[in-house]
Amino acid sequence: MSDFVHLNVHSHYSAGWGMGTVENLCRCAKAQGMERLALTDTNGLYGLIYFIEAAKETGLLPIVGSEIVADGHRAVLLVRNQDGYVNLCRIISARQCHQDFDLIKALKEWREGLIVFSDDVTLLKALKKDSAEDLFVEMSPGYNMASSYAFSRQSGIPPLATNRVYLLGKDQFPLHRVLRAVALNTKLSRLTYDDACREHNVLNTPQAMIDQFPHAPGAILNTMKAAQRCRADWDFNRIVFPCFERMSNQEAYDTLYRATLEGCRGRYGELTREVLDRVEHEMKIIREKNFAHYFLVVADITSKAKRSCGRGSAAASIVSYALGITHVDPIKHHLFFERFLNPGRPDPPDIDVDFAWDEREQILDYVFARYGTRRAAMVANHNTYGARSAIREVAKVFGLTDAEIGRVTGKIGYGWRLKHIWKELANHPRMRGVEFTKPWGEILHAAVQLENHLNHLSVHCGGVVIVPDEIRRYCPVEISASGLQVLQWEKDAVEDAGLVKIDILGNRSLAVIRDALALVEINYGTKIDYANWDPTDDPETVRIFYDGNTFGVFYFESPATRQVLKKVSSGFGFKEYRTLDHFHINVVVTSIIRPASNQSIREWVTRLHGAPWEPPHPFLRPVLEETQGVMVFQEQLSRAAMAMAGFDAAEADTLRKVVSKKHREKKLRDFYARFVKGASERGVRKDIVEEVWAMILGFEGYSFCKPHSASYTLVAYKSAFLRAHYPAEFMASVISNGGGYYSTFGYLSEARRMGLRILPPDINKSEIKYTGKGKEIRVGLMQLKELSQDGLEFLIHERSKHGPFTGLDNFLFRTREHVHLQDVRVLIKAGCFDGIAHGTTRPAILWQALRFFDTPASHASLDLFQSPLPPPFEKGEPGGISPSPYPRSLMLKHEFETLGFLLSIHPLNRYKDILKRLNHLLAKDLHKHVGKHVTMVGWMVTGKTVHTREGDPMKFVSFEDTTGLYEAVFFPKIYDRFCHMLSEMRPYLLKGKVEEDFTAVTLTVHWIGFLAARSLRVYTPTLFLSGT
Amino acid sequence: MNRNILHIHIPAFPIAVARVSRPELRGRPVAVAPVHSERALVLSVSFEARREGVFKGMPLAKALKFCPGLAVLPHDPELTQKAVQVLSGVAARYTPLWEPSHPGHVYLDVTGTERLWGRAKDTADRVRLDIKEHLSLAGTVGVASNKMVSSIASRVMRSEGVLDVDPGRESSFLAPLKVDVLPGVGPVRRRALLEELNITLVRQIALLDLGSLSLIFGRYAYVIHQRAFGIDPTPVYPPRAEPVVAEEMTLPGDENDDAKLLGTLYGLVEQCSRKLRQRDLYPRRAGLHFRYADQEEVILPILLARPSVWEFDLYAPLEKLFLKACRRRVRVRFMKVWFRDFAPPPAQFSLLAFSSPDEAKKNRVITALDRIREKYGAEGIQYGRTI
Repeated sequence: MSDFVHLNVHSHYSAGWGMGTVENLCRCAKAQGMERLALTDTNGLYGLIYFIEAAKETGLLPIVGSEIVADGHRAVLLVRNQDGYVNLCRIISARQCHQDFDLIKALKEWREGLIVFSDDVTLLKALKKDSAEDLFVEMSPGYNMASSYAFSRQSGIPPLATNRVYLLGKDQFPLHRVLRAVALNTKLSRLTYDDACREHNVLNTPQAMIDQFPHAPGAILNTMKAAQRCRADWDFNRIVFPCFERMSNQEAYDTLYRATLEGCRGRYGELTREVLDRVEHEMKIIREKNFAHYFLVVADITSKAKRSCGRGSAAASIVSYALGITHVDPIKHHLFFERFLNPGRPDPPDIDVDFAWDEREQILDYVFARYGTRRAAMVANHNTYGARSAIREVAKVFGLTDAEIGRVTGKIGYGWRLKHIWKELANHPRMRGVEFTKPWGEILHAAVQLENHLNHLSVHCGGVVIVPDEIRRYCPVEISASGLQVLQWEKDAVEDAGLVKIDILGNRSLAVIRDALALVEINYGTKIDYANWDPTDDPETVRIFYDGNTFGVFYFESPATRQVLKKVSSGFGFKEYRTLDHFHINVVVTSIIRPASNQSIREWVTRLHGAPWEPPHPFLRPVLEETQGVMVFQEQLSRAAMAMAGFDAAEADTLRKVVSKKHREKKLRDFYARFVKGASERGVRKDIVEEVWAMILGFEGYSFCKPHSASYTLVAYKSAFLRAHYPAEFMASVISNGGGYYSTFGYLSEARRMGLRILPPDINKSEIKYTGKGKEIRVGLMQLKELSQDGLEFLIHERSKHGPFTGLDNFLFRTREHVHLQDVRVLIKAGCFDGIAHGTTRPAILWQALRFFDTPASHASLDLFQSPLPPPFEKGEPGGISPSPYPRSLMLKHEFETLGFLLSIHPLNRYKDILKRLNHLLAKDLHKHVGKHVTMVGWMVTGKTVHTREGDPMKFVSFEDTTGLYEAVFFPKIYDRFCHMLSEMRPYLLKGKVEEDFTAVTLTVHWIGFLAARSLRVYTPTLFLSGT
Repeated sequence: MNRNILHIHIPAFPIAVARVSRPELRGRPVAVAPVHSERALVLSVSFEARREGVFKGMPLAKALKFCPGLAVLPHDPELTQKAVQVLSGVAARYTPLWEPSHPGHVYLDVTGTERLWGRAKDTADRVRLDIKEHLSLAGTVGVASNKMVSSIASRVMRSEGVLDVDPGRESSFLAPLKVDVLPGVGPVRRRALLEELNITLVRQIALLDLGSLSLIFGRYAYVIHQRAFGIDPTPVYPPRAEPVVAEEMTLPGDENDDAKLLGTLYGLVEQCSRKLRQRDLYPRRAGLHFRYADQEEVILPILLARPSVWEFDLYAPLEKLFLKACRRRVRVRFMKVWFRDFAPPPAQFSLLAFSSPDEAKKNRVITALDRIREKYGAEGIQYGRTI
């Protein structure tokens, strides 16, 4: 047994100070024969959950605490009991949230249940007045130990020995200094003595500590005493649900039951046996797991927005369907409730809800208004140093320039781990041409140790935790840069601590549907009720999916998805397709597209078209039946593990989580062993076990569960319905909401291909957003990026209040307070005034505006008989020239400058002369030349870089010419050769081979060049330079 | 009386200078830019590169995308400065009134030199050939009655040669040219406005009345109006020489360790103060100039509290200045120290000149050091901190 406990220990969660991870600290303490260890990170409990987990694993008793540093005072607080924990959370929260935080005052208020030690004489004296119990004078070698000891003897407060641990070993000290320099934004030679810790602040052996206190054995003894008084039986095995309107559990359950039945009546009309059984079944589990409050809270939040889309597994529940949290009928689409709530699963699932992206903030505001910062807080992200940021920060301390750093970090791939590669980095093929001269050795050595250390806290995009009483009882909170209250824990820790979170996420497609529906209502007076709207059987809507015409349709618009849709439909006639369960097929389509899933897609499509298939093992037939033997959904993974290796529900679910999360090699190895054992016990052949395990590992990275995909697919059907029936309104809304996969230019081209006319912006006809009606889309004034927000809003406001503008002077007078000359210039260049110019040329209008803004406002007044604006050039005016209209090229240039793309012509039209002489194939004829080598012309619309299994980058690019869109592939070798040339700002000449995979045609590029790089050089760049 | 002003213009001067010693750069696209940062802006562009769409002020990374074969030269201000001096030397042979306005551009006022050199146009050609022959630099020379027109004349020439604008014909010379040839029509703001008014040629500006012009140019309307007619009264300003004592050093390796940087600084101050003592100059002002590895420069002047020739007086303010000015973490590559604005040396040593015996002692040490160095060379004896 050891005679000393380290009670002042910092891990890397003391950002910018600590060096050890919680795992390393625990391991090291255990190796030195200690039984207990404290973790006292500065002003936070960031690593609490992981520390307790690690301590349990290594067999240590964890002591929880924190060092509070504020305004010149410091003290270390250790938790004795639950009250102490609550008080510690409150003190830390106050320290983080209030600028006028006073440590002494806070301790006087919240000292119950805490052990306090410090070398701060003022603080100790003040606290001693209240009570001397659980109060110690901290004695640390190297920090005025003698005077601390003298104070202890004089005041009678017992001493306590610590080593203020920041390092695991002395060898970490140089790195600690680097970390300090990073944190202080300075260089090593400017660090002062007190800017860093001391070299000996390591996790010493007990004996080494005892040797340093021959004069004060009591200080050593007191560490043991204090440690024994601290709480060590930490267990977060509880679930903290929010509480709905202070109801009791029974009340909440009854309320939920009633609401569900009422909702079902609204959804299904008559309540059939099937529905009632399902409700009964779900409610039973909900009651068992006490989930009623949670449902009610989420339903309350979703009811605040007209449109929402429950995502994740919650879509498998009829209760959430009835309450309007989700909109997919779980009975119709065969979604199993157990995927969401399972009696065998100990941890609670969370409900994630999407809202229109521009309404999300309001929803969060509502949550905080309703539950207050007392009960609600956002979940945090722990931003840790990755390979790139670790190298960058360290290299900056060593004084390297951004360019020198960028040369290395730019070549580091996504997800690279320095731990594995740093020694070989200099010889890595990607680093060819980079010289790793002198400081780089040191930099890499430091960076590799910094990797995965906490850098800073940020706010999780949508996670909210709501508790029944006070959030500061559970976890310390901080105030984020955007003013939101945020927990100190990230997603996983929150979950492990048993706090239930609700994810409130932004979704552009819901805003698209909202805007399109609003336009439909304005244009035709047709009202569509979003919640009960089911377009899954509408033939035109189905046709969109059948044809792969899903450009702009959320979730299905990427080139890859459109290709798969075409592959699927190639096996069926449209009539036959309609009789199939196309909704289910499309759910599979969205889920099957994952990195490196080409092979499974092929298999699935062939089997869908009728090819026979066998599951790897008969055990798996029921699991893989619905997806033709291909593993597509997350839950198939868990179910496969259950069916084949006898996992129980909880185990299988953990396996699913471990697989989809990265860097859990050790746990995965354990699961593998368990899987092999379980399967062989059931008599499954070794090679089949391996095959299925490989299928399971295919889910690494990201994957979807069926209810989630179904929920999104339904949104996609709604989008497709709008695209089919109200194309102008739909495309206008897509563009207004920033689109998704493609640029505005890409969507406008698609709109033209759909037979729509694009009208230029107009001062009287354009709204802020894009608008559409019938066969026309009107560009919204939002597209004029240089227009001031104030000016834009005012002119729309003025127009709606007092009617359309009748002429330029009318416009100028009515808006002069808010619209400035710069705005008017943008509007003129974009041609907004052409409609009311009455034949005046654009330069002449500009003269008029210049004169207007030159006249002091007091002189300018609207006189009925005399216009104060003299026409710019009267006949006979000396030196008068009447401004001629802009030449065509200047009009196009202005169009490009103000809108960001060419609107009146396709940019390729400017190359007509060259194209005439060039023998090339048109996009609409591509499918007729399968297997041939062709030359194409194209404007890049979008591109996606992916990595092959070997890690080489390659790219899928969508090009368009004036006749259509086509997909092109740049395989690694070609990509490597030409990638620097790809941009969305100029036309290309492509040579390659046309290839077909089930009717989906792609161009495998062999060569790419700039179109007419030579003959057009003189005027090509001038038009696009200013915009690029 | 009509003036005769020549304007020598060597296009893309730093590149032209580099090509003198590196013939392999001739005829291919070249640009000058700080090579240590991809975000750096291109400082100078050769004709061939401009044809590929590379322009001055463009980010280097973009320039390289436009023109992958672009040869990028590092910015070398020392070499350019040297070339400017040589070029000025040629100009000085023809007239005492010459003005090196910026690198690669020199104005010569040759009014009244007809009897010595012949007509201005002939002088121009002679100057051009002189430069071509002695410096191997190809350029154009504009001849006119004022600086602005001669400068424009030298720029409108596509290939090397001389262009003269006869007196009285300035206005018609300018009329068909693009508006941005006029100084004061900035490339961004005003030109954009003119373009929006569909005014592209100088002729159109000349036609506007002052009232309309002031809508565009504000209080500069009158000047622009004059310029559009080819009127420019500014004289040729000859450069003024000012004595400076300076020392500079490019560090053997980039460095961000303060101890080493201050050592270098001390060495530079030591060398300067030795020179000051030799020439008996008492500086009132000093300055520090250093350049980081990414080419960012810091230049800071300082007023000295007391003119002195002793390093122990001069070093302290510069050390303070350096620690204050060198805020970035980036390593430093180049350092320069200068002293100027010299006070007359004290006529005789005041009895109170050495305020303390300590100072007198230091002076003796330094004088001794100077003697050792005279005998055994500058590296004969050194302070530990400068090594």
